[in-house]
Amino acid sequence: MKFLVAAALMFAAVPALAVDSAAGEGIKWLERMGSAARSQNFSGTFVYQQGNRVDTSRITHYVDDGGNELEKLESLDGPEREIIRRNDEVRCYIPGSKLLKVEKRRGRKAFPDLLPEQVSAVAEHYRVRLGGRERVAGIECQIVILEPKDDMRYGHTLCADRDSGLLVKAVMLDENRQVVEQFSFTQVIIGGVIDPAHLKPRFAATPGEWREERLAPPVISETGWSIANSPPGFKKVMEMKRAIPGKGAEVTHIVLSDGLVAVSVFIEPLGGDKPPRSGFSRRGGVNVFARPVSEHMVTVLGETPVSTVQLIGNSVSYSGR
Amino acid sequence: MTVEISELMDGELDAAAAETLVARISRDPIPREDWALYHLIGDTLRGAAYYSPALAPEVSSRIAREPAVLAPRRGPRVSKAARWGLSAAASLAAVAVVAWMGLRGPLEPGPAQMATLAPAGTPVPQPAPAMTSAVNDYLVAHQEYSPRFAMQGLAPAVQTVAFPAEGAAR
Amino acid sequence: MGDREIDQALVDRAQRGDKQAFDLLVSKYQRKLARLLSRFIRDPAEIEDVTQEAFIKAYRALPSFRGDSAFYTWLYRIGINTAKNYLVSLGRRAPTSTEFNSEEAETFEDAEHLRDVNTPENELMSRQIAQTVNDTLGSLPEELRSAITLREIEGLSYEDIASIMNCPIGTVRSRIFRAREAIAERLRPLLGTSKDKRW
Repeated sequence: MKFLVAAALMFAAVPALAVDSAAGEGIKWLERMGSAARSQNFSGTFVYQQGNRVDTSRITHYVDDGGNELEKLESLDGPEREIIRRNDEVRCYIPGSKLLKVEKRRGRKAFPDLLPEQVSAVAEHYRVRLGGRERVAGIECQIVILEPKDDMRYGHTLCADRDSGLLVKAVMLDENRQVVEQFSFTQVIIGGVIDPAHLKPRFAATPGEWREERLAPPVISETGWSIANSPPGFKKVMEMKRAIPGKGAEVTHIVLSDGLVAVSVFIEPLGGDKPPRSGFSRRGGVNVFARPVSEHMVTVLGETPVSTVQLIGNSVSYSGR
Repeated sequence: MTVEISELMDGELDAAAAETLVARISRDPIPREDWALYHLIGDTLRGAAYYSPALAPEVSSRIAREPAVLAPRRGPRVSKAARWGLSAAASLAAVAVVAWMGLRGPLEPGPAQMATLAPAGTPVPQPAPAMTSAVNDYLVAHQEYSPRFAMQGLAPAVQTVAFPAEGAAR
Repeated sequence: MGDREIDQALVDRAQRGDKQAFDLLVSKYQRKLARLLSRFIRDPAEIEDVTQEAFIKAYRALPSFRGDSAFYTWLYRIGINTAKNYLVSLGRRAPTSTEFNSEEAETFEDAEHLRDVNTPENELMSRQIAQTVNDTLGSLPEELRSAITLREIEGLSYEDIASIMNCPIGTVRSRIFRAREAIAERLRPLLGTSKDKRW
């Protein structure tokens, strides 16, 4: 089997993928974006919009001399929340409920270990090309366009700071080229010195007053369910039985991804208190399709066109124990 | 898809893709034919000139009549799938971009939206939502694994127990 | 190189009840196993029978296959046993272990011997297949021919082939595939397989 590490090493040794130069440029920008997010100091305010909802947040990211990543995310509207991350360990403060959730994000690192192999996997299913330039939050940016090669996924327009490569704006467009989601910095400072004191939590989660929950990492296992059909490039990246807050029985959760977006398949036994109804629905950029299979309700949802969740949903079956 | 069969037989597909493809070709006669043909080509190149068209179909129909063999599950509960899942997830964040999603709670149900978004920086007023949809719980769980959420470690916040005091607000 | 994992994946599926996964293994190893057994069994019709038996035995024995060895090694041992038992049951002498050396059996190339492996009615087709494969191979562009040769005859991985041919892995994948397809296209009419309805 191909081992991703070996592939990455191999890529270091052979010439770059033979794509046309514009796409090659685009791919380099994608790599820069990932690397900048991981290695740059930056601090700013960003807005995330999907449908009618808008969330504003402040983020500070800092890499210390030991190469440790420290990051703080604060919500600026809605319920007060703050997340402090140090490499893999994430601490989420919710003062309203006096709740501190601690989790180790193994394998899902917040800042990517960007393997060229994975970027080229995205390039297989999206046409990656450079657009023009745009000014975002006072920053001169390069536009990179990801056009889906099929109609099973949405397109993306990304804007990255020309100096550092940091992503400052990203827009996801549906099949009608309507914006379904948008992320954008409204103000950001990239590079420079950051006082680590800014990354301390605002709330002292005093035990006794605050509840601390340590979330165990999920146990990935085969569930006996299989998905026969998925769009090209969508690979299974996670499979497990888990407890979902709000649901009674354990639910099977399988995630497929093409490297850029994910589709989740949830399978719950029928008879629970609030199973979803079968059929289609949509939440902003997320399409949902549910159908019953062997005494279970299968719900597929993802940031993709309807045809994708439908294709996947129609090919779910139980194959094993 | 046939190029994947070519890759599969050379052992050059990663485990997750191989699993999916094997599941598919087990069922579909056309890719099975390609599998058979490509192996015939390989064997012929290596000088194994043997032609017996009845052999495989005969074995197949005899096996069809055999009771299914079911081997007891052996080994630890965390199987190959776990290894695939972890290694793929680690590289999932490949194109993960900074703060793709902001901090937020579960999405509200609402009519299908064609979003016409105000320019960033001018928040759009929100209707007061009711958080009752069964799908919302799934949405929250999904967001945790989306590569676009892989950044920023947002999942703990998103997975938060419902905010009792806030109720229907956001 | 990678064979082991594929075979294991197919075995796993077969062990979970997917019989067609086992069919894929049969499809892959039928010729290799038949050639092996032809070392013991001369009559082509018997070779086919015994090879079939060996596969059936292997299928029945699947629950006991633990994955400690490669699938083919295990299949191979079952094949040998099946052949020996067959000969014994007919009162013929089974070869002793000195006569039968595993490595030798794997690599032994005896042109004269091979001619007997096919039944008379299949012999012609077998030659035509070999001819078609070789002719098509000869007519391929150099880089496709090299790629498939390095893969199928030298048994090299894509990574190694990329290194040797000084091209990206994706190009290796594509060249091997195109070479296979070029040959397959010439074989399909010969074998009467259906080629419509591609995915």
